[in-house]
Amino acid sequence: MTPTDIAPLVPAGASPTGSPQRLWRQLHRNPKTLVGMIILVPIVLVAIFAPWLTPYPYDAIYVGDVLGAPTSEHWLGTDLNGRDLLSRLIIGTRVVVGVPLAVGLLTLVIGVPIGLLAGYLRGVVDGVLMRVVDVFLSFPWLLVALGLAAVLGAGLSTVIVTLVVVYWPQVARVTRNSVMAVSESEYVTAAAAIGEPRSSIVLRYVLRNAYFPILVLLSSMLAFSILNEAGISFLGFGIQSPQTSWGLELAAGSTYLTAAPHLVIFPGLAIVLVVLGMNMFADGLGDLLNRQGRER
Amino acid sequence: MSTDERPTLVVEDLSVEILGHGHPVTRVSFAVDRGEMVGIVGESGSGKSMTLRSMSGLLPFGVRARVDGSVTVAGTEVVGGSRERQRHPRVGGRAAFGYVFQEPLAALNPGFTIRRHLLEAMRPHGLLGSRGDRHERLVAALEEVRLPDPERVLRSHPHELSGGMRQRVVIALALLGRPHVLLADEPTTALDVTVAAEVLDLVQALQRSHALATVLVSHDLSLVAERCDRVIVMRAGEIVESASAQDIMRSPQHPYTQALLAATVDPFDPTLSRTQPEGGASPVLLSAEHLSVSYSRRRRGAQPVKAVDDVDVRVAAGEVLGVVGESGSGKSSLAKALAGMQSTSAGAVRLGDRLVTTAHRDRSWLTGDVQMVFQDPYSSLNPRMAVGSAIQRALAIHQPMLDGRARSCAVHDLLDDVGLPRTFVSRFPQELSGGQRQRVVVARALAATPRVLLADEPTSALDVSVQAQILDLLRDLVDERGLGMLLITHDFAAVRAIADRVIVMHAGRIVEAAAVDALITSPQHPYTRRLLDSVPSASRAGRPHDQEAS
Repeated sequence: MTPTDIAPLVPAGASPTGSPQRLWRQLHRNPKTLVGMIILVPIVLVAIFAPWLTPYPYDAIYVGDVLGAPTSEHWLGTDLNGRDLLSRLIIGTRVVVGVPLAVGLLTLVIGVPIGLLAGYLRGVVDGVLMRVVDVFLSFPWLLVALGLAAVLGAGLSTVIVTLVVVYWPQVARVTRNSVMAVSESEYVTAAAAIGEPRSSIVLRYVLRNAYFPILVLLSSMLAFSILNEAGISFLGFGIQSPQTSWGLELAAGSTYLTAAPHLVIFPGLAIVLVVLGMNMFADGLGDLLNRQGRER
Repeated sequence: MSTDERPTLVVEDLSVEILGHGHPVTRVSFAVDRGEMVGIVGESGSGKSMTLRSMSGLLPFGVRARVDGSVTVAGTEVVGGSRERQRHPRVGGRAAFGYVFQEPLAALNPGFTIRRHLLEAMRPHGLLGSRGDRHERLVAALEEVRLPDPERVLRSHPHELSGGMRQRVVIALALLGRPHVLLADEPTTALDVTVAAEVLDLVQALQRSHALATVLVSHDLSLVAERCDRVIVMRAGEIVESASAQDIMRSPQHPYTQALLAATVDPFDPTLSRTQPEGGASPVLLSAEHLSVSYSRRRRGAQPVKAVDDVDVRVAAGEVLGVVGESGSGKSSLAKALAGMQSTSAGAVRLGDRLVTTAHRDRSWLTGDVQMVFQDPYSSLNPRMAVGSAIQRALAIHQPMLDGRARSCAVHDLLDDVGLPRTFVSRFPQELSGGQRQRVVVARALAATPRVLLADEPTSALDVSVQAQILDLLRDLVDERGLGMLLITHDFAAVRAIADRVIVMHAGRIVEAAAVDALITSPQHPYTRRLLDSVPSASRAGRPHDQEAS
């Protein structure tokens, strides 16, 4: 027997926690992320092919059918102006998918570099950047929406700018903390010892190990941004008719709650469903993160 | 003698099954009588800690495990029953077990004073008693573990105490329930060697005075053989051998025990003398003169702490220089300063003939000539970088003229050099064992074509059998490539195994410098002598330790 036999061996074929294949497999196996994906993937597909899926043009008016209940012609009924609700909800998925996408991308572009600088350089840089973050964190989203609507006017861009202003500081803060924790690791010291230049240390060693908490924050943030979009449009600062979003439909329907409850029920259900999907996904991703932390 | 026929602790056919993850412990049986100390030795994953934990109902939270078999303490069965009963098994008005943990800082709540710890531990045993004499009893509990100034200790938080004091507190907590059995799981692994010896002396004294049945778990065969009456060797969840300490050391029966024993270096073994080519011709690669490193304190006006104080070091080609000292002796600061990762406050560092010292953290002068091997291979490799890319990064920086093909050839050569299969290029660190990871760390350091290696406790995170392999690898590399190496360690066995000369550091200064043999056979400085006396030695197995001091 050679002494090497004594060394514990990891089962062959186990791929590392970092590889995309492994992540994909983990996402499949976790029931929460699986359910989340089952809900979200069809919604994304609907958003992409929306114009071909709508039974009627979303802004076509059917004069005889104002506030009509669901029928075999109009599956989800019609709205105040006699427009087909199903078609409007299908078109609305583009906002539901597009707003989080834009918000997510922009917050990453702003938040991650700032968090990275603060967390890696520390000291004065950290102090200054984090005070800026604190200031932004103290804005309530409603107030930001109100102010921006006054400057930019109501519309899709207002929704997106509002949410970016509200969410980038969270991304920056989480990035900074994660980067700080990872920077303490010995492999970062080891990288410096073999002479890695700073930029390479930051990208190859720090960011590569620090991104997971950011991913989890992002996924729960996207769920909130769907709700926030609905809220802002509901209040009238967001998407304007005849354009549509689920929040806007909900707002329009709320006036006729007793006369045409379907106008509130269906958009409401749609919002609940997608937020549920997002949250399940985020939750599952968080579980994966915790398990990964333990494995290390 | 016990009134019972049976020994105090009887373990029969104890098995632990972690649901879905196999059997970490399989049919383990042994017995310990009162006043007896039995050692369990094994490497990581051998199931030694799991045995202890399953006996005392301390399996980790969230683990779905099934414990089978029988554990009796003073004739009473303690396995089975409710989780709550398992956690505080009581026999005859006393706790069945007292448990001493490996890392005292982790075993104590940082937010509680020691007083509160003791009170919390008394509550489940119903020992709180009347308020009147409570304070006296707390003081008595601390005096029992020979803690000086118990009044002050009671008021302290764990971070205000030294490692040895903390472990004494943990022992005091374990003794509060007047246990029948004391379970000590690597109680001294986190401690300095002199402190460890004191703590073990204490455990032995308490075991005798309280007639405790004691189980001492350790990875260190010498330590167990020196302290215990009987030794149990575990591997992969099973007992492979069980015998008296002398028998284990003199005539181990099982091949695994023999391999373990062969890997255990006894620093006092006279046959280990190195015959070194004493030419003096080899050029000095790295030297430091009057080197000092000091850390400024946060508080304004406070004197800076001198971690390294006026130290001279010389490393020649083909030479391994051991640097021995306890924690806080400045040995790691010295290593960092020599590697250019720590600013120095005074003195000069020379690389060959070149004066390179810098008072700031500028590593540009190094050009890879000095490379480090880190203590913990589990944290010194980027978990998201495959072995091949980790080595390639170092090649890309230090040998930029290599093209892609030449570079992957170089990676293969380096893997050959450190004894790893070439297929490892695509492996990630978490797929490797500790010893394999440490080889990768060595390969990465070699990729920078260093002239001097600084190894900072390169083996202390590894299993005994792997330690010997890594040390041999380092020695071979030094010999073949004519490198100089600084081996920074607290472990005399490692120094004895591969070093040529040793310096002993204490409080930032070098107290003694000599050839290894001379230092170990005839230490001059009293501190060196104290260090050496504390080293557990297999050649002293079976002898009571307290006579050793004279």
